[in-house]
Amino acid sequence: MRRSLLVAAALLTLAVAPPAVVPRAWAQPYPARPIQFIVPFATGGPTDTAIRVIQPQLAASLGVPVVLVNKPGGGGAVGMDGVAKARPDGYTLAATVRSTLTILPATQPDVTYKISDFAVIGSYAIDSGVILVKAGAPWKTLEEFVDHARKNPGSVTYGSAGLGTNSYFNMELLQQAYGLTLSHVPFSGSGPVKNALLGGHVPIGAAALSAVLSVVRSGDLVVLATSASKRLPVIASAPTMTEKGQPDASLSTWMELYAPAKTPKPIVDRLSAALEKTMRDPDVIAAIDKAGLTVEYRDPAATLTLVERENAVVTRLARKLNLGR
Amino acid sequence: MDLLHGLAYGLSVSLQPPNLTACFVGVFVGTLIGVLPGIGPVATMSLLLPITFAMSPTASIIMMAGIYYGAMYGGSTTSILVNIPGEAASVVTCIDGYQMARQGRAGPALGISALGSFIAGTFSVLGIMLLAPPLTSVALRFGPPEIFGLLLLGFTMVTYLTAGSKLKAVAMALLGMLLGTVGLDPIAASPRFTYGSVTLGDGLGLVPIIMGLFGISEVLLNIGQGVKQEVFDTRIKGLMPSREDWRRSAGPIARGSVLGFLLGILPGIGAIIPTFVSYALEKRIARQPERFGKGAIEGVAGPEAANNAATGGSMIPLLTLGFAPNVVMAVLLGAFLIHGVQPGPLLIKEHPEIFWGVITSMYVGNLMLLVLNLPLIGLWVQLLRVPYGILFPLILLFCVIGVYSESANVWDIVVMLAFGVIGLLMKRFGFEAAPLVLAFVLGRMAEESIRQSLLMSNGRFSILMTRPIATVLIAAALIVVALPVIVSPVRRLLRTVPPDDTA
Repeated sequence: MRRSLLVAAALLTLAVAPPAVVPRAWAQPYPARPIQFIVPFATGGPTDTAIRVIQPQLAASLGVPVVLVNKPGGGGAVGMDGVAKARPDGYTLAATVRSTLTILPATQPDVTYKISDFAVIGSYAIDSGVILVKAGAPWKTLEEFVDHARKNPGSVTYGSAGLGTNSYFNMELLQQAYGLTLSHVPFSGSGPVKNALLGGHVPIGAAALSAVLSVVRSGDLVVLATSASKRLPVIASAPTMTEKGQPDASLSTWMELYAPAKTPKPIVDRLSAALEKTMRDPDVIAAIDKAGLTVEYRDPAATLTLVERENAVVTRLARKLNLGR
Repeated sequence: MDLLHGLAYGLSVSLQPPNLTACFVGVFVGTLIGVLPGIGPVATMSLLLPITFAMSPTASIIMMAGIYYGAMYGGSTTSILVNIPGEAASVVTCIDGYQMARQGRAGPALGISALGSFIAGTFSVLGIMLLAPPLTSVALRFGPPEIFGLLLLGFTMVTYLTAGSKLKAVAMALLGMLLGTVGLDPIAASPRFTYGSVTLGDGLGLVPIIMGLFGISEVLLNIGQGVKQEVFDTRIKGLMPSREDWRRSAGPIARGSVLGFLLGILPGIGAIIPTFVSYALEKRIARQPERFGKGAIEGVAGPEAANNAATGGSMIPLLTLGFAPNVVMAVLLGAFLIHGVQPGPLLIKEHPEIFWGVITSMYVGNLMLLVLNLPLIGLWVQLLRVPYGILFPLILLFCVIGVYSESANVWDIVVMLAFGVIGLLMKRFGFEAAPLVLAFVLGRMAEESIRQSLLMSNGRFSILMTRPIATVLIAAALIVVALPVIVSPVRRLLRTVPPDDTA
């Protein structure tokens, strides 16, 4: 009786001990059980949609079920903080957007994690940022708008999805690039920006493409510029900021996967390979397209370069705008 | 002709066996989670979203929508029976619904909720079909100044939400507004009252507050008083509304339907505010406003119609603009996108089967809900016989599960429990929770819309006076506030003068 108790206690100790101290004798090749992805946003947004769309194929190429757990809060900070502190065994990962590692720490003093707290698995899709006006607006091109805004400094308002969102940074970067002064009217998300534009409450606005695509395709709103690196097939007539000679003056919403920083390299490699394979699947590409997003796969190294570049741009601008203090 | 064609086509879609099944599952699950306190439509729809992968887009949307309006039917049940709202849009139903139950009239209260919901649901389906395009353009004219005007009008309703002291109601409303300021400021995103907590940055959640103030506090109150299950003793008088009940309810149902539908279309309003407005309106125009809070059936019929009509109304911006006017619609929008369908102006052309199928399914679903709910009334009333010793732990359990499932955040449970204690104290000292909830909902939105308005106008308040809709709404709010102040002294003056004919 006592013996079996002792054995049970010993087993229990083994089970809770960190793997670095006592190597688990029953270690199996990764992945051996379902993988949990923390989505740091509520159900229904583009980040959630993107990972749900690729979930079945990602699970297939990993050979284990992929479980999505929505942990919204703090604009994504609650979920990301959880992943940063999770056990680095490859079973708790983040399905997030890049801005949770760049804009969020730069603008929110209470966010304490850093890029170096995560290991990059890869980027897989973008939700392009767009600058748009209502159909029939006096400006047909970005240049015409810039002209108008230059002549009327401070009196032209713009709508964004809120302070500290990609759309806000896109408009601030635009002002910086062209030397404009616009007045900011923040709304709570890309959907309300769309409404404000359609209702004529703000003359110009920035939003995420997925939220406005239906009214852009119907011709009710017109895109003056996108943040994508090349023209998007769904709105082929809309020029990119790169074409305008301003490659660093716009941000896209990048859908990315991360693991906690100390996750062993073979595990991260296995995950990256699975993501790459998933994003080559024509069915996945079509499904991502239909959701208003665009497939843009980047391997871990390329992703990290882009993240650090975006971080530099964002941090500099946040400091200039006196955000996050 | 186009409409009839669309209608016939829609019915042919929604009556296909898989879609019919999806509709039934949706409304059934919706009723169930509506009845369970704490567990609301947002959490349920999010949890069930993965299941819809295997279904056609049409069936998925039909099921998701069914959960939402089904929850509106179920939500009133616990409000009426145990004074705990089944979901957020049934908060006001507690006020008179529970009093009716105490008087042994739980059956008619449940009956009028179901029938009123059905009438309102039918009305809003007709509204969507006939008026979706014109109403969309009206809704778009509601920019920040108009929304602010509307919310200001909403604030004037606060004192109608109490049968007791008006001063206490105003005090609670101020507390509600104050609680609404916790979190990141909606414009400058700077933290307020967050004490370095990332969780508090999102502000306090509506669901934890409601479940705490109404659910937990009710349980605590009953424990404190020792178990005396008063509703047991009262004989249950009839299960169906009487002719007199109908006479009283017809107006409130009609007004609640129109009000709920129109408010539901507007961004951010959701299904909660219309219920408060409907209640306040009925009390305002009632011949005997003192009956409210003491089991007036009008106070159940109006708000229950309003929340159901609002669910229909909020489908309009989603279907015609691809805009989610509230959190529930955001989940529904996600369901559309995951299935590769973009709701918006082109939906009716690109996916007529979804557009018409979903709309007609809402009518079918409302019919199912009526058939489902009327026989259930007898069963629900029996629930009152469940000993509190069993019922209350279950309620606590559902509240905890519900609040956690909404956000996956343990702190929300702590918030709920804290508000449970606050709610207990409020009940003990005669403060009512409804004004607090209304002001909490309105406060944050009002702050956001007034500040947006001023940013739009470069700081000039004249923007509120130069836009007709905003001006009318603000004027209406001022009149509602000023009227009693002017009218009652005048009346008193008239009363003191002896009438000539009797002299």
